[in-house]
Amino acid sequence: MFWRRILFLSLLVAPVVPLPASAQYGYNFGRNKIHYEDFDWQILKTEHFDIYYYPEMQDLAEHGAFFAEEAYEDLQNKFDFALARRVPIIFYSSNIHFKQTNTTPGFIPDGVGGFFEFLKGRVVIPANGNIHQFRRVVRHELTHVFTYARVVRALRDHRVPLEQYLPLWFTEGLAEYWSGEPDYQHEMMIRDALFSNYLVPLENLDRISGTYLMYKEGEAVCRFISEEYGEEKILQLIENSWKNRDFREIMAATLREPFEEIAQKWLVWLKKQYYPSLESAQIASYTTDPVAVRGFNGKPAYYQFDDGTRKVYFIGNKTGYTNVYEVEVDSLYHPVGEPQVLIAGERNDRFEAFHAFESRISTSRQGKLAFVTKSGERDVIHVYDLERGELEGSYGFDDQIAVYSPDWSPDGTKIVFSSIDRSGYSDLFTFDLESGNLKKLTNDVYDDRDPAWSPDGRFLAFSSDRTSMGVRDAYNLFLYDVKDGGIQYVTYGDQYDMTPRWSPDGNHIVYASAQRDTTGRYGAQNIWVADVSGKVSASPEVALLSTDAPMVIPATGQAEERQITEITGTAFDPVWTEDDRLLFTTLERYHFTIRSLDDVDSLVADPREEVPIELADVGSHWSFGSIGTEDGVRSVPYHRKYNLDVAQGAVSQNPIWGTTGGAILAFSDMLSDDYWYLTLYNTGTAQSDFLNSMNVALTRVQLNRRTSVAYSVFRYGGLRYDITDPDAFEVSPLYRETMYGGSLTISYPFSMFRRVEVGTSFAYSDKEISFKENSERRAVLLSNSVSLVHDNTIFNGNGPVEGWRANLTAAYTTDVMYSNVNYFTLSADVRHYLRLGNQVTFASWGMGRINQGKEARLFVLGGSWDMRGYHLFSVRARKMWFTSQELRFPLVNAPSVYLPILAPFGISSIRGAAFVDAAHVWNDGYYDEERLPLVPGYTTGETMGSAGLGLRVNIFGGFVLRYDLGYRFSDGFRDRDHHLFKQFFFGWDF
Amino acid sequence: MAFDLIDRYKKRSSPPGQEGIQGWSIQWFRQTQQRYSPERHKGPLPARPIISTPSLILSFSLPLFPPFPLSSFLPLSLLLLTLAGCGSLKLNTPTAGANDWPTEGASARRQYAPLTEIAPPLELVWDYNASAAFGPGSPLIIGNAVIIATRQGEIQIVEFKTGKRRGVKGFGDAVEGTPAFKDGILFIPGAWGGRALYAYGLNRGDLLWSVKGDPVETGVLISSGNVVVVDAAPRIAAYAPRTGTLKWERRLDPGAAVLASPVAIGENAFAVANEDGLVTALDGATGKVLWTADAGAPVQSTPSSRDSLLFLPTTRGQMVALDTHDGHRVWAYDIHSQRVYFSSPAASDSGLVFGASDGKVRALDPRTGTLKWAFDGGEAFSAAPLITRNVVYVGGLDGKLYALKRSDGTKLWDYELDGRVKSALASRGDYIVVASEPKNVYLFKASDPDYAENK
Repeated sequence: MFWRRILFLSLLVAPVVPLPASAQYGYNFGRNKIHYEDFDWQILKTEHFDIYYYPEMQDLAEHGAFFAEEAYEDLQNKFDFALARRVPIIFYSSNIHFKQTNTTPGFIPDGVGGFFEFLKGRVVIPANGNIHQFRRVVRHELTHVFTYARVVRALRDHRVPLEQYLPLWFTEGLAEYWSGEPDYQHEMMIRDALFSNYLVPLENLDRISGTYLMYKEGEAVCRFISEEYGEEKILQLIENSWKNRDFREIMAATLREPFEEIAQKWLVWLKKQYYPSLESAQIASYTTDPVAVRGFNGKPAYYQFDDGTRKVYFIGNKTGYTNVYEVEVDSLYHPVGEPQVLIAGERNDRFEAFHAFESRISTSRQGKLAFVTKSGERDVIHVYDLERGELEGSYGFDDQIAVYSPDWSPDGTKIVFSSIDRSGYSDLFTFDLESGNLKKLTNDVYDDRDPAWSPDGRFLAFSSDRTSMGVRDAYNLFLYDVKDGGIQYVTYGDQYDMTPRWSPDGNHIVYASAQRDTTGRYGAQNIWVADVSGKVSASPEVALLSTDAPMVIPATGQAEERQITEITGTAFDPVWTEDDRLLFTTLERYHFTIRSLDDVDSLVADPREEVPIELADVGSHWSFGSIGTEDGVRSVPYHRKYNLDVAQGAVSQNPIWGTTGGAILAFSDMLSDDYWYLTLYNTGTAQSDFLNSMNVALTRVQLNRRTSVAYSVFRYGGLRYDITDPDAFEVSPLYRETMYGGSLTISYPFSMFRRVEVGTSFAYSDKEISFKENSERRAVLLSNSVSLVHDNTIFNGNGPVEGWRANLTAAYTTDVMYSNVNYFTLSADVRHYLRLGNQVTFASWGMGRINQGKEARLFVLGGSWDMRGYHLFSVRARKMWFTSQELRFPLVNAPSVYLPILAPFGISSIRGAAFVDAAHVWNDGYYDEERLPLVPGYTTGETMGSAGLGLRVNIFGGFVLRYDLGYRFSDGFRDRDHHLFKQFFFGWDF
Repeated sequence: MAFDLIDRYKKRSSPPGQEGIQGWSIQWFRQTQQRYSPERHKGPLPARPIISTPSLILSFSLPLFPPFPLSSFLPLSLLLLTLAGCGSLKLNTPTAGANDWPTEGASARRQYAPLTEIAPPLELVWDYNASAAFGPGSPLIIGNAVIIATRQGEIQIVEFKTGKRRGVKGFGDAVEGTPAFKDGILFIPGAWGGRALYAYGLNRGDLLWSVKGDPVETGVLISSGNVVVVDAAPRIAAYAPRTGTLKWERRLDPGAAVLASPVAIGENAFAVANEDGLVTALDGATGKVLWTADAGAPVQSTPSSRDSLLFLPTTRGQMVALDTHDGHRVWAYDIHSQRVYFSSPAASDSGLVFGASDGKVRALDPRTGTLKWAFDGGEAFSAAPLITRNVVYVGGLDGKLYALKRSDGTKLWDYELDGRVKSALASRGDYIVVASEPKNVYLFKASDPDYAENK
């Protein structure tokens, strides 16, 4: 929501300067967080919670209410504590809807399962089709709520500042630990970290703060404490948090052992659990063949062209953008060359974002690739013709919000996929590309996912928690008979069976499964095969889809499943190729890679393990409880009520400048859709000046619709410092101005990357500049502006590294009463970032700006952020062009590894830059020379610039110190200063 | 050149959901202006600092959790408190009266059972803002004074009749355990940032003696004429009350903390339970171990004893009764939940009453451990109840004071306080003192002696 902050800031500035902010000091970029849906919010008032939901997801919200109360009862005991006030929980029925929330300003990636926000004490959670996961996230976030309440109580009781809060690894680890037993992803992460030797020791967990590994290691630490020292110790750690700023000391005092000993014991505890499984396990990099190993790679598919060329397709992320890649492989599936981007994702409206971890891709026998991206307000299935090398079509469905894992029918006319509608439940659908007919195959609360069409077209294999084991959060495989709509079990057990694919002959299903070991803990996810030859029709045909509701065929008989890999970390997303190879994804050394195994038939014939499938044990269906209006709980429509979020103020006293001070108050509603800001400050230097120097602004920003609207009324008066005013003294641009009026800004996003902004302001201005003739100027200013903004850049800690962004602005300002002001503004600002390597970027910036007319304002340049070698904002004129070319490269990554003494200073990287800047500014004639008072030796009317080298030191991952040195040039770069300039400042790269 | 004159100061005491000022700062700095000569402003300019003035900036910021009281907005209260903390405590009461509440649970056996008639509904006589939070123990009532220990290391004396503050004095950074009063001396356990134990003469208002050592986070026990404390080591130490002379000491298993106050189990014996559930009975005069026993689960709340039984509340849904003579288990009440914390029990002849984190208050037959009744209040109870003649009073973490019929647990009355009750109650006559979050102390008085019977 970066752009909204900019919007807000511009609103504060706009009344002062009746022009868009982008035309003055600042640069208005940023992606758009779009509120596509106008949700009809309701509130379910349970005993302890206010559950926010919209009517389409009422059933799921009532389950969520049940989960919340259930969690409360449990956590009340675990924390021996009660919450003092009701907790608002805001539910969304899918991640796509969740991404629209205003309750957090940032963009929400796919992996975020929910969050607890301190300011309003609210919990925000999306569903993802998996009701078990939904329940788990509710418990996770409520654990945070209890932890926060209990810690804050302990700290405040002892008058200890809240900064002495628990470390993130502990709070997140505890939330994971108390939200349920370790899932297979936990096991995957811990195993790989241990076996690949990157497990971060307890004393260094702060260094991986916020990472997925931190969550899982934190969970393991909490489990270790509970098992080895007693669960009560966890509560004591929280209760003792006030005693010391160093959590290691708290651990030592509470667990009554030296911290080093605790850390060592934890390692031993982990190794004892996991090392025995190494004896028989396969190291993926030693026992399988690599297909794509650099960066994140997953969800493989393959296609053999008519000319015999084989290609593997997958979703990958090597530089920050997620793309669909293709890599040609030989007959042994060894890659021929580097993977190439087939579909460039995350930089245009059509391929806005991938579900990189959740949605598979599929190739048809006819050479079509189907994949899913988010495109606007919903997910869309794209069909790409591999033979012709072009995108054939994109298909979105009004009611289907999130779409996952499309798979082709054998004849290439239909696509089966899973999808979440507004209800929040995941079901299976087929889409007929020829007729455009969309058919819903399943319709219930169960999470049906990863469908795969059998080679004969008769069956759909899919994974689902509809198994009677699903009550324990298990997933098994099923067959959906497209002829009669019947569903039958393929696998059965307390395990995670996922991502099925068929063998080419249709007699087997290959899938990923995580199964429990003898201790009850999940083992590594690996590749398994189930024989379905007895269930598949002998005569291949594509049956007509049944219109009847699915029925479940009673499970009978006995079968078996065979484990064909035993990879140490994890193996999933298997694909069985026509030439008897297996493509799959593995996690090893914290990298997801695509690998292959040959001779699958022999692996099946000689499996690593055979497990009987006891279909006779299949039990009945399961369901979760719910709390709704039928239980006497009230549901009321949501009406906005505004709470004070923050108040900030300052007062200063100075013998020369007098007493100045002010405050800003911010109010917003529970959903943060509507903000009110009240700004109040006084700059008077004497008592008699108090009323004249009173500044008041009331601003409202509404974000509840796609079009964001902000308006403001204001009264500003007193002394102003404005370097863009053409009438003010250049050296010290101070003058008096009284101004009152109003402004309106409307922002309409076309997509995540593009928007148009329209602004208008109407204000009376009375300006007085001392020591000048005709020093007083009155005006009734009407200012209108329109801007087009594009931004698809991605960042590292220092600034943009890839993509491009641009801002085109036109504005017109006129005095409608006295004709004292009348000028127009044109501005174009384009920046491009070319990724030359993983850490090397070539950045180009071109900008042209014109203010023309009566009292046209000045543009400014200078300083470390643009025109290097010149003082900050010291180059001023009404017209300019400017360009900068910069090569950004790494010098030392993580320097504290080499010099640990740097660690306390938080220096996370040291990078270098080589740059050339050039500008030409002028007021009237392009070559008219006027001396610029603040810039020794610089005049308007000539092209000047600088070239040099820079050093960028990133502190704590986000704050950048900049040091540049180089030469300044003038007279069209014909003259060079004799001395090097040196410039030190802070700020991100442009 | 700018520099801080007064460093950032944090106000650190606010109720949950009522946090006030997050931070404010005062800065004084010298402001240097570079001024340029107007007639030369067209040319290159040297920077000449010619104005140098001092400035004072006061800034504040408030992330707010509605509702917030204006009182928490005022740092003045902290200033007053700081000044008050330099004062002294005086009490012209040489010994505790029969109805007084001189120690945690009223007696060394921690029974919380005065058995006087205090019938609901109660009337609020006064409420007092202590500007500080309280530990899990009970306030003391001595003569015309209520003595309150706070987590900010203060002992405050409040006039029983009026609720007016009569004195306050600091004893380190925090007092977690309940002090004990005997013969004009208040024995104060120091939990952090000071001495481990203070003996303060209330008659003259002076510190008689103090001892250094590991912090003492549990209540003080008077046993066999000695002042007994258990510190964080854990080490049990007995001191002569007048001189502070160490009479004896005994170290316990360093691997398990003692979080519950020691409790008398006879005229000259007392017991200590640790977080591993190990119970050690000692002779109060000599420190000799009389017996040890295993409660079977961690004990974190203070036990109580009555007759020949020691009642141990555990953190895993069990109440265990041991014989005080030899420590053998007489009975165990188990709700078969590993995650329910039991509060300290109140023990009378006819009932053992305690709260629990599952939101229930239970009454057991103290002789058999059978459940007599249970009251479901919904929210957790962590403070010890109070048994009066016909009514059980208990404060909940829902911020309510409940009156339950002693015979069957029926709710007779409740009263909503300003915050959670996690400290034990104290009483004298038909009055009850209640301490609640964040910093309030209330005195209630019975108004209708026939109410319980009529109900």
